[in-house]
Amino acid sequence: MSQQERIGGEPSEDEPVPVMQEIFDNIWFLFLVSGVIILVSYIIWGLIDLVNRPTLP
Amino acid sequence: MPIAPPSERNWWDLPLGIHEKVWLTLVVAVGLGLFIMMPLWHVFGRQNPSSNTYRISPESYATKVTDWSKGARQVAEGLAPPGQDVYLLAGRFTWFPNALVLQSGVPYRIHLSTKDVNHGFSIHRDGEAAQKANFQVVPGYEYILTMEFTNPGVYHIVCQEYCGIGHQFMVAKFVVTERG
Amino acid sequence: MAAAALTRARFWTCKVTGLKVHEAAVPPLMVNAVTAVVFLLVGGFLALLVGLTRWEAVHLLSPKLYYMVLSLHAWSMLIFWIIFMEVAILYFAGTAVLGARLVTPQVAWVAYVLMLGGALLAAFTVLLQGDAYDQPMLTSYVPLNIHPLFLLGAIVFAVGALLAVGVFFATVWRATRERTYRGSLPLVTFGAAIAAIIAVESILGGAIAYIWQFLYTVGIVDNIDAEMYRVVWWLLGHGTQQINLVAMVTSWYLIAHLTTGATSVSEKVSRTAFVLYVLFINLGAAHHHLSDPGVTSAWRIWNAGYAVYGAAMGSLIHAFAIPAAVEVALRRQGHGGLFGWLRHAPWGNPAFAALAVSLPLFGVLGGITGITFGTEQLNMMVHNTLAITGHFHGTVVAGTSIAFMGVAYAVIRLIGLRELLSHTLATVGTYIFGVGMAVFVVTMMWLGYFFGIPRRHPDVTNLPLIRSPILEAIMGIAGVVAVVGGVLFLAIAVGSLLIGRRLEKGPVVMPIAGGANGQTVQGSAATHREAHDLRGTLVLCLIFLAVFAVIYATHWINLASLWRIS
Repeated sequence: MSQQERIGGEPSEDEPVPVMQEIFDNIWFLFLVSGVIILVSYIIWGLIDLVNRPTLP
Repeated sequence: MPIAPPSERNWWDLPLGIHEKVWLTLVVAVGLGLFIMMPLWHVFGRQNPSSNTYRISPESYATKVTDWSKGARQVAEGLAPPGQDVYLLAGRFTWFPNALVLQSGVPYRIHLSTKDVNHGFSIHRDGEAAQKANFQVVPGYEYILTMEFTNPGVYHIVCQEYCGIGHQFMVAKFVVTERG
Repeated sequence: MAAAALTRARFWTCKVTGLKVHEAAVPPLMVNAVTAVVFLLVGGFLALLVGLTRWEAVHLLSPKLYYMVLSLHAWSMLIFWIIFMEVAILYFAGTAVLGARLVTPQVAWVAYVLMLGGALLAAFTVLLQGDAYDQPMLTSYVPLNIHPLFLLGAIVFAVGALLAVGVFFATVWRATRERTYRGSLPLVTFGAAIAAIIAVESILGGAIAYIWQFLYTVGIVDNIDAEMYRVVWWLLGHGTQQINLVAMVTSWYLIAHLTTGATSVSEKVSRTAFVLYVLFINLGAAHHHLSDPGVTSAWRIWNAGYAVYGAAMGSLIHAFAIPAAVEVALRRQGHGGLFGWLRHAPWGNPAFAALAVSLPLFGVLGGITGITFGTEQLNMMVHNTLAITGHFHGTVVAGTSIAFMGVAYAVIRLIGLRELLSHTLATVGTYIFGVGMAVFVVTMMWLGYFFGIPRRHPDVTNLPLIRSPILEAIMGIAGVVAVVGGVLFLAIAVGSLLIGRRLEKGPVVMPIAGGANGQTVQGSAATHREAHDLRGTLVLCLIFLAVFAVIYATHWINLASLWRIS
């Protein structure tokens, strides 16, 4: 087995990893959560704040 | 190494060293401390940005300021407001009114808005370099800040948001006198 | 089919790192990087003009020219130089680091043409639009009278940039499916992916704001709420600078590895910091609404505070993890003592010099001030003053730009296959740039914080403010010094690519499906204790924290001395 093939795959790729590591390894999931946070916390909440300002004539 | 996958398949469970643990603990403490300072200052501090805002069309605001200024008294150094409400109308490239006479120790409600683009309300106590405060002035919004000046003296107001070629000429002032 | 495509792709192996480089990925990578450097050249020249105008004794430009030059300077530096360079870094992290091929190089070229076309359209509009329109600066707040062609240029650029990020994601997706690596993504690619996610969010926000504003300027939309525009626009304004931050941190890990053999001491710690970034850092756009009408204090505190300072914790963790990696690597090479490892670091290597300059400068000049000025109440004292400009020159120039220079020096040798014209000159240039920027940033913040001098101002001499001509002069001179350092970088980088000695290309190889790159440094013989002996780094970080505490506390004390504001 060449050294190149060994790397990162040892001892076995099938070895179970903790849930947190699986989450950290899934950049697509991180993308989703990040998008939801910015959308809800910054954009939607911010726009709600602005829209809820009382209007003067 | 950072340009290859981690050498251990399960890197999550690898133990940390004592120096890392010390630093991580400090980091969490610092984060909490920084965050808690802001609400704490709202409770115990005397300088907080206001959340007091109304939506108003630039035209209505301009009319309101003009009407209010008719009730104000013209004295030598500027306009003395009739009550504790003070209105400022920003516009390219002037403030209206550009001089107001106020009293120390009185909580004034300072209304800010603009008839055209964004401007900046930057207020500086004359002769005191670090005594200053800055706020954004946004069209369509009437921002109300309560300010109670401790010391009599002149407070200069300059526009510090880019608003066009005459930006640098936009100055005004509050002349704060001893409460009489 | 995938395997067949992989076999057709041609790779060569880097002799230094053992990385497999996809031949078709090299031209778009290098062209993006070179374009970035050209914008740096333009932006640097304009920086000189801006600096010499703000040095009021010289006062080079009229207001009209000043605003034009400042708009171009801001766009060249904060958007074009940085994003072209980031695209190059993404292509590098997505292909060479993963031993993967660039998916659809044609799309990468389309993205490049869109980015360049948009950038040129926006830039020439600023130059040629005449007096009927307002200059956009970076911020182009509605209802300023902005030229529609400028906005069109910005939109086209944003679309191109999104496309380039898409190519990166497709490349990573493919590499995962074709199993060019096993297990978790390499840390550098992971960091690049985090930067790419942040990039999509911010550039998408910017594209929406610009399309909305474009429709407004051509009369299709009647009215735009000025405050809503500010909320959406700052996703771009702040978010793009967060791409810089993450790309810079990623570059630091890369440079630390290439120059000292450093490996992250704990993947968990380093990756946690990146995850904190991706979840919370874009909330920092709220830093620009702390002294605004419209939003409430609850929104300001939660968002500007990165939801309990998650992103700041991320930065503090990286600030520890990167020097820690260097410390462990150098200790392994036999340099002990509390700081013995630091003395034996490769200070004469230009890429390491870039790391050693940009990391502490970023932390002290950019990080501490960023947290301080981004605190809801403290922001009142500095909003729209030169202190803010000082802060982001600390992050973007002293931090990101110097880090990218280090990467450029490494990439010229590894991917460009050219020897640097002079290692000594490159190193000296980096230190000159760093010292110049440090003094420049400190004087800028001083002028903004203590004197309240506004930013983006063509002439402060007639304002009723206290001024400090001496500080203005120091700022101007330091700016010139930094430009000299920048010119040295450009001369060496471009000169090396053109006339540098050719380095030998590694052998052209066919990829081994499932293979990965290089080998691990983590020896099993090293005991846990030795692998985590980070005394030196901890002491350095504690000193940093003490400085932070003093600066932060000083700001609160000063705030408390103001009159009552509520």
